[in-house]
Amino acid sequence: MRMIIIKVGFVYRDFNGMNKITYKMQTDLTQLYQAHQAWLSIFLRKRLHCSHQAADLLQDTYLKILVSGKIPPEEYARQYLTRVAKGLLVDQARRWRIEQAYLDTIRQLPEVNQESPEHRLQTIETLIEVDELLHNLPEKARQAFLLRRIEGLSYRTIAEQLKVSVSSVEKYIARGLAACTIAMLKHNL
Amino acid sequence: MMQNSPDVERIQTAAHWMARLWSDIPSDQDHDACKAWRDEDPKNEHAWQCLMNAQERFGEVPKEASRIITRSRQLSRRRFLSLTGFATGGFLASTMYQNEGNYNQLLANFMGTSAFTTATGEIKSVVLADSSQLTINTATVMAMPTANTLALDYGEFLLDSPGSQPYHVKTPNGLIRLDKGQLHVRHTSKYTRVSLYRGQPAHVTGHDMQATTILNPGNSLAFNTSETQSIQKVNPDAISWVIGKLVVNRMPLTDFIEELSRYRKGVLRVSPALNHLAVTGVFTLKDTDRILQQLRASLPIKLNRLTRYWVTISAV
Repeated sequence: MRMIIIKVGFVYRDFNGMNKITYKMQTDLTQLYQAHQAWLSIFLRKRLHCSHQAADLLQDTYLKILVSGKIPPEEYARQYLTRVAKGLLVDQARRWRIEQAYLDTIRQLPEVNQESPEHRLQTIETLIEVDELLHNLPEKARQAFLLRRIEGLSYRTIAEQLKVSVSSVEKYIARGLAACTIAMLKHNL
Repeated sequence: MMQNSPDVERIQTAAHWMARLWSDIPSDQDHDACKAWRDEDPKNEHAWQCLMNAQERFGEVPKEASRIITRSRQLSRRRFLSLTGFATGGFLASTMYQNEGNYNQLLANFMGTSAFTTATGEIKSVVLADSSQLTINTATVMAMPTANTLALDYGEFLLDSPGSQPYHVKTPNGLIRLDKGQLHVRHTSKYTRVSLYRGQPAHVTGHDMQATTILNPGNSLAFNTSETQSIQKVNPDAISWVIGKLVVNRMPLTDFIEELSRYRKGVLRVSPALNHLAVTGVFTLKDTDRILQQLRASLPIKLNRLTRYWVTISAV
């Protein structure tokens, strides 16, 4: 699939990194919408069990395509739309579980509970971003990396906590460093 | 990846060196060897810089992040979530759990120590050991330290007790005793409001009160640590959330939005200039976006969406 994206990924970027929406893009998108919204809407409704959410996510799918500027040619449209929609479903799932865990945690941490709603929102966004960056790591590697990078624990302490050797911790950290760098380059951040 | 990105292998080598230098006591040899590798090839140095840039991202990450992320992954591992059955955007379907002991096992496992709290948009219904029905509204923080004590830190609940045991409800403002009946308690930053819809008289003892106030069925009382308001008749609309509805009658728009925002994730702001507008109607809490659309259709307002989670309301 990545190949396809590169193939269709013809984008103008200005200095702010914003894509310019051309007239052609608009007409292409309209066509894409008319040709595919019916089945995509069914696809989303089946997964979300809620027509309102499905309608929202349908809009989000097309919005994401518009913003990315990557409008797929007709022969790849179905695959591409499915991929984008699935990505949004995964994003929603990620947001959901991060929010749950966040709420759960702040109940136990009164000092965090004092934060303003805006601050909370920002924290959740940051958490989602970090979670995404470390997504491809095995559980222990992710934990080791977070404990070192965020909590500043020593390798020895991490080794004790995770019940692994110090040399394993070092390997986990290396994997974590590589994974988040690669993820960041991939997202073109 | 971008064309000028370093290759994966080089990033992995850079990561190996960085992990070495981050270790508890990196040796001078480690430092020298890493420096030698970086100097060997400009591409190596570039890979190293990419790693450094990536690490800058973590500068702003709060301390609790590792705990929260690890926890969230446990949530997904417990299959609480699958791509085919999760709810988002606020309202989680009202769930009914049968309870054998003091704590519902499923809930207790999921929520850790605070078994009776709800997320934003969530309305939860629990049957307690004595077959009392407890319904908890959105964004409520509460606990059940003993089989007949409810400690409400924030939010609201409706308790319907058949009367086999008295219930004691604690809020930061005082104590309420319910012998039998349907009791609604709502605690916000302003005050605790207690409404007894039916049953036997309840006893309300505010920290500020000289003596216990007897609250008869059909009556409602608001109090905090500095004042106690006069007794009013209960407002049946105040518990319409139990059936997932928000029912209001000539409520100022600003108050309405404040109420709505309790059910909605993210930030909802309304211009104070709109406080002359009033809202009347029955709204379905399941879809707060839809409520906003309904408001826009009936009032001279405009919705500005910065993101899905940040909506401001201003005059047209």
